[in-house]
Amino acid sequence: MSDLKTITLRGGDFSVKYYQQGSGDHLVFLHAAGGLPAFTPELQEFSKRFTVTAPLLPGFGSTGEEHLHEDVQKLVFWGWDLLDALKIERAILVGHSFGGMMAAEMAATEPGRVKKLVLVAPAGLFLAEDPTLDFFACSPDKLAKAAFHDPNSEVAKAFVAVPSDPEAATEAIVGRAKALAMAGRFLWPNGDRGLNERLYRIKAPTLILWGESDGIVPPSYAEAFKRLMVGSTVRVQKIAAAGHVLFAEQPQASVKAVMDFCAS
Amino acid sequence: MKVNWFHLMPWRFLPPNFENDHHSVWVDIPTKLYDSTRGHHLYNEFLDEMEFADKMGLDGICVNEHHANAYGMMPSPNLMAAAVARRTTNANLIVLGNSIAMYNPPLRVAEEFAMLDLISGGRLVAGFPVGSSPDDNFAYGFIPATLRERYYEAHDFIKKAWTEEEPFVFNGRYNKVRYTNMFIRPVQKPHPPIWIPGGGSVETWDWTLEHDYVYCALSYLGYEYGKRVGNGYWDRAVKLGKDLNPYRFGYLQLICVAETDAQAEKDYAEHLEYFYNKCVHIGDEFADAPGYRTEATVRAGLRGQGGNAASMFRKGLKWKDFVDRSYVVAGSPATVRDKLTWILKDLNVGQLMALQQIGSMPKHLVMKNTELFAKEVMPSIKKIWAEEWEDRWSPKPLPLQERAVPGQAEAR
Repeated sequence: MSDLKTITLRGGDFSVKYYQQGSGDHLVFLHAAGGLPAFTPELQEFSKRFTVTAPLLPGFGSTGEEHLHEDVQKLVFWGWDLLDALKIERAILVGHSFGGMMAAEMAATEPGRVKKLVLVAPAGLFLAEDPTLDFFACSPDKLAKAAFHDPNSEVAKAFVAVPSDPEAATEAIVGRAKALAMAGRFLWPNGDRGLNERLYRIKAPTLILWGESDGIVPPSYAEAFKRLMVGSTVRVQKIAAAGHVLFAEQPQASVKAVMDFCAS
Repeated sequence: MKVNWFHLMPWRFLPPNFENDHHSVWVDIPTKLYDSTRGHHLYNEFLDEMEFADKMGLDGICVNEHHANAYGMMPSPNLMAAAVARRTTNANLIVLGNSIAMYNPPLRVAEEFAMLDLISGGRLVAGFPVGSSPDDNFAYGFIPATLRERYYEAHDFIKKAWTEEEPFVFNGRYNKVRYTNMFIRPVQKPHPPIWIPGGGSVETWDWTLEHDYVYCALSYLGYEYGKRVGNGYWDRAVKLGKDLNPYRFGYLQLICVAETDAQAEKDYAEHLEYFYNKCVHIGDEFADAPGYRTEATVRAGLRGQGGNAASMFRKGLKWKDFVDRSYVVAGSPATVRDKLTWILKDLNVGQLMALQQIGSMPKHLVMKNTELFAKEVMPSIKKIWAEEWEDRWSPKPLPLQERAVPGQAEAR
């Protein structure tokens, strides 16, 4: 089991917790608005081939989100400042949902430093004719229905479960509120912060991975991303019987898709 | 005690089964439930009622801002305050207020408030709410986590615009203006009194006290909620070394007066039920956007009053429950006088805001309710604190003889 390490950025404005494990080329993983509860099984798999670095974003266990205000550029600089501090010059970026938006923004800002890009059901676009779900205004049950292909599965139930211990439950509620508050700085109210006008700058070969049953960001967004990413080679792959949280719901197929692409 | 009269301006014609057929009264309510001809008459009816409250000797008329909301139909309270300004003489215009975080530049609010203060001869109270989550985050699209810093910046900007005598550059994070120049100056110097309507955020109490403003607890849950907020607020006042002058604290109370206790139930019960079952039927998802409340407030466990969690415990409540829980102070003049006096003293309130048009209540009942209250209850209520404390937070208008008379105005 990998332990969390800590590093500070910008004279202490940000204290960053991150996992780092494995060897080989650098792969940086940016988590979704649900956070990163552990060095998850998919990260374990990636670390068999790569040096995996997985930071907790500010508000998700790392601090300093107030210094980001609601400025996408500040979020992008946070990401690159972290990689600078960790002496990671060039890396494969893998981002899921909110982290996918961030990975795309980082790749558009510093195209030369991204070896490959994997966008897993990324946020960051909004299509009026096929709107994303307003997950900020969802009950946990409604969110689970939208996020999973099979909302009655054990993984889906674990996703909405609240700890029975009252203190742990309070921390879970506060943690969830903080995480969504942070995501809201960049995704409120509909996730469109102008990424559509920056995607052309990305140069890295890109895999766009999507669950066919994603009810939060519709799978049709994969083609929209591809259409806008005119500067890179983009491959779209859809995973059957998976919703938005595809690593949890279809771990084998999802991990294989990422590994095949990154190792090729 | 200052006794002010609050109007929410609710749509009185929601269908009987509204709360079962529709998700929320706020944010996503279908516009097909609105009728513009009725709306024309309704706004004018409400304006009549506010003017009547002035005639009845109420100290102030309170209006507030909501969006996409069928129980609060004032997207711009300033328009309503302007409409009553010319047809009233005595009542203060208490605009509670403008959600200043949302106006870019917030100079627009500084200017409109100055206009209201000028038209009314200095009767304005400038209310600066942080703004509610349904209004600001959901109906107007503002990012919850940064709303508060936008609010503080807007506040600083407006105050500076009111008080600086030379044009200045404002270089904020969210507002940048090269030539800030408020040519029109409010009547009240250095600026109209500032009141802060709040929903119980811990940090707003401290901020309000530090700035020496009035804090207003606006809830529909009466004493129960007022006690919780009042305790928190006055605790902070003691900790910050402030005096306990009750005029620092405003409190909204639903009030229904009739000839007897039994008549009050007969007259008002259905309108109370309309209010609690329909008007505050607010989708839980809209009550509290993530990031709207700070972590400290989330931890303090103070939740907004909206949301299904709140409406759940009101479900099936009847007149007796509303009265027993003091959501409403209702009954004969003597009953209302006694209970209200007790509550206001217990909560240490100096600025009462009486809500007397409630839910579907038609005009003749609003008039009756207001008149009985004004004549039979208000005189004794106004005496509370009058000898003991000075109200440093109410408007200081021009003397009557120096004020313009509508229809005969001429500048010299």
